[in-house]
Order: sequence, then structure tokens, then C-alpha cells
Amino acid sequence: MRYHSPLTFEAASRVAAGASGVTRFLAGGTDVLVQLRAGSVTPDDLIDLKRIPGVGSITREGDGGWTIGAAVSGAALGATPGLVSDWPGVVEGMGLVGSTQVQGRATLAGNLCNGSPAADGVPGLVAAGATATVVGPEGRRRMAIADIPAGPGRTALQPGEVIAAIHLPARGAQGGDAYERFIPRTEMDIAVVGCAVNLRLDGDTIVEARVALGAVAPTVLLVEACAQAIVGTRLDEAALDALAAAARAAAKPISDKRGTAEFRTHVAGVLARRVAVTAYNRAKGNRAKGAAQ
Amino acid sequence: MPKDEIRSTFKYIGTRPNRPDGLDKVTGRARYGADYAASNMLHAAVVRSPHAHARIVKIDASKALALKGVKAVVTRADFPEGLTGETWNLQENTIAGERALYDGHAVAAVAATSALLAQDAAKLVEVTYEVLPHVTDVDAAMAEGRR
Amino acid sequence: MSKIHVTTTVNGDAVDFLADPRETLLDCLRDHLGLTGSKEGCGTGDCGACSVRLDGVLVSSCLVLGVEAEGRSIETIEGMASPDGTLHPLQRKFIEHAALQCGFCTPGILVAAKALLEENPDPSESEIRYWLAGNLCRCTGYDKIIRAVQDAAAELRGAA
Repeated sequence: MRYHSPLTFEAASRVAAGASGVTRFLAGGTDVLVQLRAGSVTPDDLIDLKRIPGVGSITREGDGGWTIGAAVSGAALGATPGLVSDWPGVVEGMGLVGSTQVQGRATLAGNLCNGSPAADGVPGLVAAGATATVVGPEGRRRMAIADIPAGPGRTALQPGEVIAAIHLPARGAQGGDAYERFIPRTEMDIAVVGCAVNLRLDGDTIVEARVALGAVAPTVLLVEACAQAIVGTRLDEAALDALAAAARAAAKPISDKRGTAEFRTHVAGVLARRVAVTAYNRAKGNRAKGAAQ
Repeated sequence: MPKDEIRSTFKYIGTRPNRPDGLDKVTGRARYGADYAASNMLHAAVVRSPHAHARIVKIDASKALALKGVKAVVTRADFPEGLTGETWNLQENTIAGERALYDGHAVAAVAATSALLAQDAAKLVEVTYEVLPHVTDVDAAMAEGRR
Repeated sequence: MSKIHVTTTVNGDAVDFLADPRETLLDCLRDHLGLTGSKEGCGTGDCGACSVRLDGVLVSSCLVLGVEAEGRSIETIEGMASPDGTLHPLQRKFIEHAALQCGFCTPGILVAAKALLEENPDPSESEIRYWLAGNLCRCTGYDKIIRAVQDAAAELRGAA
């Protein structure tokens, strides 16, 4: 295994594009090193991104959006109060990945590129409408996070392409997001079902919504029918019922050791309700805070 | 005699003594098996069956042995023959004989001058298997004609 | 396989070693630097026995490559007591509360608990349990560990 530590993403991409064997990019390493250890993936070329300037930075942009470098750890996200205030759902999703020790290293970009359908960091990004800067042999491009997962362990990134940063849009007024997952224990487990909701209010009425489900299909799902079920409502009981039904209808899970398809389908509805209420309350809280300022 | 009087007559019972191994264990000084290193120490890696049940047709360790620093490759052929009863059971569990009996059953082991070299060499041990049907429950294992 | 020369700081001391790029920081600490206090329980980031601080951040050293340590600063269990041998309050409380049995998980738990108390001097029981959820102990049942951390936290607050 050859170890590379390039100083730009373009150089990192060139190494990957020019390699003939197995390549891996190294950000937090909490998946790559486990695979290395298990012998399941021994890269011929390992490309460490952490020497690239800015790769560990969290930046608030002029428009109020956020840029999160590819090597920013979960712990660093949680230690950024402005980001936690704007996008609590994104931060709490990533915060559920692994232990405190894993949080010290694990990254959103890595969670995304590992390609697990159950990745806790991803539904929040999809619900937020986040994008990624992708650097490849053909130059730089922006991709919607929702377009990147392609199946278990697979992404839509082309050979030689690497994620340089993840971008969250400006939170704006009267918005809120949330993420929850179901696991059979309290910590250190992989989602049986995950759900993220991001919404915006006008007064008490939901005017925009994005609902993402994890671990109920080969990739994270952005469920338009769930959004339609709650847009135009004040998240009353009928809207919550419609939301749950839409989530269950969209869920296409497998049965495995973590849960049966029937159970996962049921839980998708339970979580969608619960998470929507949290996001709604956060949106109202944001409005109250805005009014006070 | 009342309980508190009994306690006062004992040297340790009823007290909170510090454990004698506590200091070494909270400072990282306590030594466990894997913490020992010796000069000229060799490191081992085990070649394991990827099949739940398979006949071992051939083990070719020549490529592994050709690596500089690889000192030995052992297989069942290096173990005693003719064991019976519990000792045979122990040996059969330690390393596969004619057949690998489960996914992960040790088939060969490599000794080399470093752990990584031993792991690299283990990947070069070529084992030819004839995959056999396997069973996954006790009833099937006890069925007529199984062995 | 060519090795890479790594220069780094461990417990305040400048050190260097030659690492195969596949070797983890844990391998390098134990095999190249003789610091065997950090343990390998699982090698896959589940058990926390290899916990160290990397530039102050709590990490599993089995999930860090040795070559990534270049120019960084690492703290291990060996650096927890004062150079004169005076134990850190956490170490003392772990002995007093018998918060260890076989002791294999103990270095990792102490390193993790120290990181917690530096970030949060007055953690609740839940906060301690969540923080240490990535440190597995098969002997104690955790209760004595939690009590020892609470007691050490109280002492550290009182001393501050």
C-alpha cells in the first residue's frame, strides 16, 4: 500500500485517476481502517486528504450558508454553536455515528462516501438540500448530496473524483430540521431506520418540507409524498397521519438481523411523525428567537 | 457477638483495601501477553478456511516461504497422527485435517519476522478446496448418512 | 514495502519511528515506541482500549495510521501521572473505588475520562455513560467506573 498526502484536491484526484489498483481516500479513516484491518479492502494507493489546507475548516459563508471541509470531524461539527443552531438535525445525525472516539475522526463526507444505506449523517444532509464540491479529472463540479449514494457501498462519483467540501444552504427564517434513528439500544449501533425532516413555516403553516428516510432502501430516500403530506398544514393530527402513511408507503426495506421489513416499514412512519414534530418546534423556536432579536 | 465487634477483630474484612495490582493497571505498566516482546521474536498469522465445509485437496506454501523473513508454514501435516478422543478433538479444532469444518477453521499458520510480513505471507498460501455441502442446525447434522 | 519516517510528539517527548503505511498509530506506539499501555481489544474502533488523544482530541489509535501522526501531538496513558509518579485523581479514584478488575480496558477508559473532565468538569451520570459508551469493560459492570469518574470530577472541581 502506497501512502500519499497531497496538498491540493486536484493533486489527490490525479493520484486516484492515475492509479491502476484499488484506491481509497482517507479522511477520518473510521471505515477505511476497519476495512484495511479486516482485509476486506487493502488499497494499493491510500490518499490522505488531511494535509490539504482548509480541509478541516467549517466556514460560514456570506449568504449564511455553511461550508464543511471533507475532513471535519463529527466532534468539530458539534463544537460549532452557529452550525448547531442553524442545522441541528444535520449535526445530531452525524453525532450518532459511533463512539466519542469515533466522533473525534469520523466525517460527513466519509459517512456519505462509505455508501451505507443506514448512514446517520446522510439523511440530514439530503433533507437540508446540501450539496458537495466534487473535484475530479475533469475539474470541479457541484453535486446534490441526494444524487451521490448509488447503492450499498457505492456512490455516483466517477473514478478519480473526491469530495472536497459539503455545503449547507442558509438556514433562513422560520426553518427547522431534525434527525432521529431507531436502534434497539441507546448508543453505539447502526440505524434500523433513520429519518430527517427539514421544514419552513409561514406563521404556523408549513410552506416547505423535505423528508429523508435512511435504512429502508438501497440508498437514502428523499420522499416527496411525505413533504406533500405536511406542506400547507399546521402539522395537526391528520397531517401527521398522512406523513406516517407516506413514509410507510415509500419504505422498501429488506429484512436482516437488525429488523424485519415489516418492522422497519412501521418504524419509518413512527419516526417521521416524531421527527417532524421536533423540526416543527425548532422552526417555531427559531421564529421566536428571530422576533426577540 | 454483635456484628460491628466481629468486624473490629479482622484485619481486612470490613475494610476497603486498595487492590495490589491497581497501581500498575491505572498507569499502563501492567503487562499482558501481547505486551511482551523478545529478541528474535517471530509473529504468526493464520490461514483460515473461507468455506463452511470443504475437503482440503492441496496446500501450496512455496510462494509464502519464498518471502524473505518467512521462517515457517505449518499445516496439519506437522501435527501428530493417530490421536483419539479429547486430544483428537482439540487438535481438530486447532487446525483442520482432511476437511475444513467451518468458515474460519485454521488451515495453516505462518511465522515471520513481523506481523505484517506474516499476514502478507498468509495471503500467499494457496489452498485448493473441494467445497462440500454444509449443515446449519443440529437436527440436520445428526441426520442419517451425515458424519 | 517501503517505510515512512514519522516524527511526532508523545506525552511531550519528541520521538520518531519508521512505519509501514499499513501500521496503525496503536501498532506504532506499542511495537516501535514500547508504549504498551494502550491496548488492542478489537482493532476496529468498537472497544476503546486503544484510546489516546491526538492534538487533544480523543480517538481510537487503532483507527489512526501511524504515518498520520507526523507533526502531531499524542497523549497516552503513560503520560497521565505526573513525572514524579503522582497519580492523576482519576487514576487514584479508580484504585480507591476498585473500578477495575482485569485492567485491560482501564488505560483507555482513563484517557477517555480525562478528556471528558477537561471538556465538562461536572458531567451528569448520563453524560459520563454516553461519553464512555465506546469503552467496553467486561469485568466491572461499569457502575464502579462511573462512581470513580464522578468522585474524581468532584475532587478536581474542589481543587480548582
